[in-house]
Amino acid sequence: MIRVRKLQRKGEDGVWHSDAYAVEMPDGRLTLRYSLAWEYLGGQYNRLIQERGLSLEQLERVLVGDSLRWLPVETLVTGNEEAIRALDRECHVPRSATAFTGRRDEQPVQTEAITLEAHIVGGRLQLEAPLASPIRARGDHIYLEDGRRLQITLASEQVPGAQH
Amino acid sequence: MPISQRQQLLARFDPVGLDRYGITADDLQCIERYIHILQSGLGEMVWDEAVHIGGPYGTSILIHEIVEIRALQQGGVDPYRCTQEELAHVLADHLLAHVVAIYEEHLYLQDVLFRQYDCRFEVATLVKANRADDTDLNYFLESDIGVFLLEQDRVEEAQMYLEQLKQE
Repeated sequence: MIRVRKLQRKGEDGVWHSDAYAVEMPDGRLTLRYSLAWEYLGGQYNRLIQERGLSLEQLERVLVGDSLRWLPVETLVTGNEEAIRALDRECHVPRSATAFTGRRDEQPVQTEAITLEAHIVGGRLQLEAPLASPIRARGDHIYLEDGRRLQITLASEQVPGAQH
Repeated sequence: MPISQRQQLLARFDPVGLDRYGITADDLQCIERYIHILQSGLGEMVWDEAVHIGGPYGTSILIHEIVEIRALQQGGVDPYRCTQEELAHVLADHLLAHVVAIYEEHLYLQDVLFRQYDCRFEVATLVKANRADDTDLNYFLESDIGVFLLEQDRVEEAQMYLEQLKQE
């Protein structure tokens, strides 16, 4: 069960549409999720709401205007992830992707394996990824998209106890 | 807006950045129109901030917008024919246009900071430093646009340089 509050904006055509929403996290903190139309202003309001520790009922304090209106607080009884997915769709918020492959959850599941070639050069592991691969590798490192590196250490050239 | 006024406006920005991204006086009008569609009703617009700040930092905002507009157009979208809601929907469906715009905006900032202050930051570090939340950073890191390293311990330093750049 989650509590949310949608923000509507009146476009140039005079039509109100849902453009962002605030969701109350289990710890009581709010997160503003917004469409890309907000550009970086969405992040500024998100931070402002969090810094001021506002509740859903207090959101008019930061976002108010003739062309903006907060709808009443809603309590959704569907699963949290399911509710957020539906709200994201309604408010045109792009969905996040998995950190490793960049696959978005609306996209079909990729079943093709990601292939890296591994060479041992001068006793060191050299990994190579095809140019079109979502994986980037250099030397014995695979770079993850969140900035971390996955390092594969070559312990020996033979697996202990392996049959030949 | 008369041509002389557009030329005056253009003079507020960094000629190196304008030249690199081929931003003309006509493009300024397009950017203003695009942002107006996107952000009318919000009470403030990134266009106003770009013009107010000007210089290299204001140019980085223009670069973001023009790259996004061109990417949408390449994808067969005419953003000027969209309503606000349609454009928000289109952008969600063309997230790569936004991600490429983030990338070019911060690639340019990376170059400016190197030219002006002789300091170099990873692009992802600049995205983190330049946004008030991690939404754009996550879109960026999650994309297939390339490999980016985030220097978490240098974000504050990057923020300091970006603030300095806003005063240029």
